[in-house]
Amino acid sequence: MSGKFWSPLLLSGVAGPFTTQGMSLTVNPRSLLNPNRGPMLIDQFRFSGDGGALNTNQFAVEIRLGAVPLMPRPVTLSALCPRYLAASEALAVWHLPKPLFVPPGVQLTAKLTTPRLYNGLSSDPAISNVSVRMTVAGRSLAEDEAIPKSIAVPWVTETRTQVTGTKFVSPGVDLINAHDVPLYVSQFVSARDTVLTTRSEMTVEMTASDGSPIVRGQTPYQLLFPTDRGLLEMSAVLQPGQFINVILDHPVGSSGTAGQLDCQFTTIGMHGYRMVPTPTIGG
Amino acid sequence: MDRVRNALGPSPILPGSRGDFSGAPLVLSDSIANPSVGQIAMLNSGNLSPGNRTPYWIDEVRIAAVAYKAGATANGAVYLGQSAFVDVKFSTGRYDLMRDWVPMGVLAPRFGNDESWDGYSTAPRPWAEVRWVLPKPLYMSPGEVLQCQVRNRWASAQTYFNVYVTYVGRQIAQGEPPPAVRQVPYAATWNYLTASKPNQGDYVRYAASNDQFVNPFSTPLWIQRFTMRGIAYDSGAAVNAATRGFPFQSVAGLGPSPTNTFYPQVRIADSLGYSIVPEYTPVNDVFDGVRGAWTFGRGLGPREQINFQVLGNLADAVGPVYPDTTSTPNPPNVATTFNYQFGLIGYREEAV
Repeated sequence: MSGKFWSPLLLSGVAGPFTTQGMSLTVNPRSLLNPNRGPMLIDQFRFSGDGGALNTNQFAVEIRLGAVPLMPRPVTLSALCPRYLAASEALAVWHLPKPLFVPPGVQLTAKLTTPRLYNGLSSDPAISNVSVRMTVAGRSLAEDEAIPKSIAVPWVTETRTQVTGTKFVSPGVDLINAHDVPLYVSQFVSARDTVLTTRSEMTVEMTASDGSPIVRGQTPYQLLFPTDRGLLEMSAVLQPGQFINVILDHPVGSSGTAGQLDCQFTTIGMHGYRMVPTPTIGG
Repeated sequence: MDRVRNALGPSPILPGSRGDFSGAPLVLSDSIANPSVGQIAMLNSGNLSPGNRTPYWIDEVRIAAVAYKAGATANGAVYLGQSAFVDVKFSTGRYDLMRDWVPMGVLAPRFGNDESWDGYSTAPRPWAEVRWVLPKPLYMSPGEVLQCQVRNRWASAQTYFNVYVTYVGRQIAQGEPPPAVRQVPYAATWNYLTASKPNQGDYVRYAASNDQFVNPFSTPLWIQRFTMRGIAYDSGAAVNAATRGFPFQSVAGLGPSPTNTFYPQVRIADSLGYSIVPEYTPVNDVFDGVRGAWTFGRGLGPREQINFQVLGNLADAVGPVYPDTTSTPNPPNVATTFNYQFGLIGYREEAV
């Protein structure tokens, strides 16, 4: 039982209500401030529907630690949180690849948005007055805990598309290491939503920017991202400027109208972390 | 004896491979038949001790409450979610594992379909089981027994179930030195009961724990986890439902939803002033929705405590419904009584 002091900490705030696509609301920053005097470590971000079930395809989040972003733009919750509840997403949990060190007084901010899923080929599913609760699960540390010079900050980027026609190639700027330090990639998380009445099998191919194959050939989507988890774990390093290409191949099905058969929302999130100088208050 | 063992050679079957029975499995069990309403009973210590005077480890405590009657009777016989109303108390004689009665349901996370109930139909018999894997194995000296008391806390009509308690552990060879310290499990609970119907003018119900989660020892207490169970039932007029209880709802089901605007929120701090959950947060965001547990993993100094505050918003409340399609009134009833049980599970170190 000896060792450094720490105590569990749960911070929670709500953004909402959301009533339609295209909205952007911020979680009350005061709710995300550690009330204890020392630093804290964040292990998880959790998302739930406050007043209704949460469709994780319909919401995206952008989180910053002070001036340090955890993602370049809002990331869809279904690309952030692997599924672990079979029936519904009562609680979506993002386990950070490394605990996030938050120095005393540095503000955590979160913005939730409702992006459009379909680009006019089909109507987006309705959002009926749902608020999103974000919970930060971590640990309070002692006041005299040493502040490290650099910290591991999670980084998530996303390529999101509806598949039209027969093939989709992710833009190189989506799954890129845009930093000037190495990016340690830990996993990919994927989900898809569809208005298809019938659908053919979708396949996935992944290559690195230098041409190295990661997922070779055309692998069925369900084998890469199993239905019950939607998670592909890996351990890789992307040097500055390197990126990963994702190719989704989705042939037109054999029945139904062409427009509807091709209409499918698919998102793939790339998760990792990089080392950055420890942010300070106001920094 | 040693010469005999050496002559026999190492045993290929028994762990330890010296033929000394070190680590051999041990299962001890006893039961209470049909504890009547409010009854307190002690299990037979003779059945809960090994026959030989050797030390042993207890790794798990398993408790099952099983109804021995199926179907309903006209006088409102009760077939309950028993884990809500069966309390237990364990003691080694020298050390208590709990200061007061603890509902069996909060001793461990839910591990799946660990409970079934039958309100008022001819369905199979209801049962509840808990598997409490002790935070650390409990060392038992030769001849020592982990005594168990059971209490049926349901205060209404007759119940029809038996309670089975089983210890699962390992034997230790004679002559093997005891450990330097004994890690004794500890469990505590706080029951938060609301008794008002949501539409009776009580718009906000607030409650705080007192000293239920204090470390009563003069040594540190390591908190392994907190658990939570919620039960909703109707203690109203309908005779079919009046004596009925329901199994614990999943914690996820206790969260806010369009059909459940009455949901408990918690705020937690320790006695030193450290905030743990600074603002009122729905319980399904604090506890794992399926397991009903929160791995805490923190030490508590002597006489320090964890303080829980619970807020239940009853305004315009539509409580969680209990699944009842066989009795009247139909359709399913809205629960009017809510019992939230919070549990603390941990251990402290004592001399052997």
